[in-house]
Parts: sequence; structure tokens; C-alpha cells
Amino acid sequence: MNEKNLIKKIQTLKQIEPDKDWVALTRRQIIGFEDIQIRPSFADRVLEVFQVLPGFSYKLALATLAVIVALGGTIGFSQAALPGDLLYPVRKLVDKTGYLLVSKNNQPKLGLEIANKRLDELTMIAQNNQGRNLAPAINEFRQSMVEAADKLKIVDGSPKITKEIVDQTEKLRENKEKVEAMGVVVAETKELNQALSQLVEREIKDLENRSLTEEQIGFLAQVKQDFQDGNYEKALEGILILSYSQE
Amino acid sequence: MAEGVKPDCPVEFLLPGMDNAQKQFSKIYDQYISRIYRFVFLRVNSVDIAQDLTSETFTRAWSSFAKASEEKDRVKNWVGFLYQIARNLVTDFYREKGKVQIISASYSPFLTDPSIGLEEKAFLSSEADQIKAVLSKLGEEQQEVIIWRYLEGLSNKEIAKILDKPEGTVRVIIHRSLEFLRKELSSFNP
Repeated sequence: MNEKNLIKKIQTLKQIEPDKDWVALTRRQIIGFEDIQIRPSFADRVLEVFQVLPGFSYKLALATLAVIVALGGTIGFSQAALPGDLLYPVRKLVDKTGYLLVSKNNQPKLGLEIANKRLDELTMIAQNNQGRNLAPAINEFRQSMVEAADKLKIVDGSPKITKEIVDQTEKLRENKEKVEAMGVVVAETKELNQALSQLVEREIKDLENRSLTEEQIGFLAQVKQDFQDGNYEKALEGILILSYSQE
Repeated sequence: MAEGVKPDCPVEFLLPGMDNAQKQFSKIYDQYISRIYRFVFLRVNSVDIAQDLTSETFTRAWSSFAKASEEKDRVKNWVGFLYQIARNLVTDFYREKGKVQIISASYSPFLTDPSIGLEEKAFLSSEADQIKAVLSKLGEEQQEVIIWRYLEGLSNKEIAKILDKPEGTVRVIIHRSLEFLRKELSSFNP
């Protein structure tokens, strides 16, 4: 065997490659949540195709996309799609149309419900060890949290809505713990915390302007303490109790 | 040196939330992960151990990268730096295990490229198995030099730098190692 053949043989070892899912997971574990590389969605790829056409218009392209999707009857199938799947953008679109169908007061609840849905998807992906879908799922969850936080800004402070927010936030915390217990690190949900903080602050100011009994004033002091400690969920529960006793 | 190696995952875009250090290190990670994994795998013959040690290599590299606040503290030669960490980890690993080389029976299914047909895969696998078996008979340093020179395309000068030895010594190691491999492989194909 000559040297050339020997080197060629050695180079067959170049076939040794790490598992792609392991590479992605390790990157996430080492560098952190933000370091996620996302492949463009199906919709993005279709739009890229349209871009090469003369007289390209996003509106036209999107309309055509919508028709194709509708004609294909893919909406039903899309409900089982997970982030990173072909039909997932359709599922997201269906979820988002929900905002058009509910009143403004119910939008914060819907926002949190959608965030919970995204966490459910993430849990399913983690359970099934679908490493390839993990990064897009975390990204989707993050986006849904930003949207939910945005919707929280319009809360009117009625006890019913506050209760729904408390319930959904509680569920969100539980789901987050569940997914983190499976080794998936979900980044801090700064946006939601900030929105909850603003909401609690608003509610506290509102309660301060009301006439409260001594017992209620003492209770409000506890709520304020929870707020200062950053325990917004507990503070909201306190506000809820105070609001009900006011009605 | 083969800088600018194609990343393992297609980098379409990076999320805007990433800070500069994360972006920079992410590129380094993509560029070298396969090479470091391959290097470690060939030294330890176990997927699990190779994954652990490769992961530890990049964890240490990231820690060093994140700590370097000034330009002068930054690593200039990543390839050398990463291989250095990896080989130290492999050495530590064998030291802990009482210097016993692990020959795993499960090293064959590493041909993961789906574009390769079954027949070709089987052929490559048997060739790769042969070369891998004889490679493991070489000494630690000889294995490293052969991997760096012929698998990773490092120059003699770069290898000399990593090993902190003269270039001439590297050339001698390569020559002797190739001779040894040739003889050993001929026993497979008499």
C-alpha cells in the first residue's frame, strides 16, 4: 500500500460526526438560551420563492399563500403540528386569529393561554426527545410570552379578569417547572414579570385610593411587601381577595 | 489550517437577543465542534465519553472566552487552544481510568451521513474500522499527530505549536506512524 492510499484510508475517518441533536443541545447548555439557530419556516421559504418573481409584492404573496393553505385544508392537520414542523405557521396563525374573536378585556387571558399552549408543545417535544424541534419551540414560547406581556398592559382591573390572569400565570409557572425538570432550560421571562409588576403596581395604586378597613389596610401592606419582593403572583392573589371584599 | 470550515448546522440567522460574546463563541463552536468531537472520539472510542469530554472542552473554552474582557486576553489560536483543552481532558480521563484504553464494540455506527448508500456505508465502515483499530495501537502522541495532520488538515507547524515541539520532530513522528500503520494494515489486506 502506498502512502497516498494509506492517507486516503485514514481520511475515511472523516465520516465520524457528532449527533446533530447533541450538537444543538450542547450549544444551548453551554452558551445559553439566546444562542439558538433557527431554520426559516415553511412560509419564509415560500416567500423567498416569490421574491424572485418580477413585480413581487408581500401582500400578493401572502394572499396566495393563504389561498394555498385554505384550499389544501391544512388547518385541521396543522393543529397537531409542533414548532419546526411544516404546518406549524398555520397553527400559529389560527391561534392568533383568536385575538380577533375575543373582546379586548379577554385578550390578556388569551395571551397567557397561548403561552401555556406553547409550553405544552415544548413539554411534548422534550418528552419525545425531538431535539430538532426544541430550539424553534423555545423561540415560539419566548415570542408568546412577549405577546402575552403586551396584552397584560390593557387589563382593566376587574376581579374576574385578575382571577383569570392569576390562574393562567400559576399554570404557566407549573408548566415551566415541569419542562425545566426535563432538563430544558427556559430563559427568564422578563417581559411577563415586567408586565405583571406594572399590573400589580396599578392595582395597588387603585386600592390605595379606596376606603379600606384597618384589616384591609394591613392586608394591602402584605400585598405591597409581596410586590417589593417580586412575588407578583402572590401579590395579585392578595389584590384579588381585596377586590372581592370591596365589591 | 482549514479555517472557515462549514458549520455543522446551517446558520440562517442568529437571534437578536444574543450578545456579542455569545454570537462570536457560537461561530467558534460551530466551526470546531465536529473536529474536536472526532479527535476525542478517536482517542476514547466511546460516543458517550466523547460527548462528555467534548462538551467539557467547550464549556471550559466558553468560560475562558466570557472572562476575557480585553482584546489582549482573548484567545488568538482557537484551534490550538481547543485541541489543547481536549487532549488534557483525554489525558486526565485515562489517568483516572488507570491508563486503560477503552475499545468499544459500538464504534461502528458512526457513519451518519444519510446520503451515503448502504453498500458504500458498509465498505466505508469496514475500512474505517480497520484504520481505527490500527490507529488505536499507536502511542498517544502519534495518534494525535496523525489525526491532526490527515483528518483535520493541520500543518506540521501548527502541530508543532500545539505539542510544543520542533517541526522536525513532528515530521519524524508522522513518518514513523505512517510506516507503522502501513505494516499493521497490510495484515488486514495481505
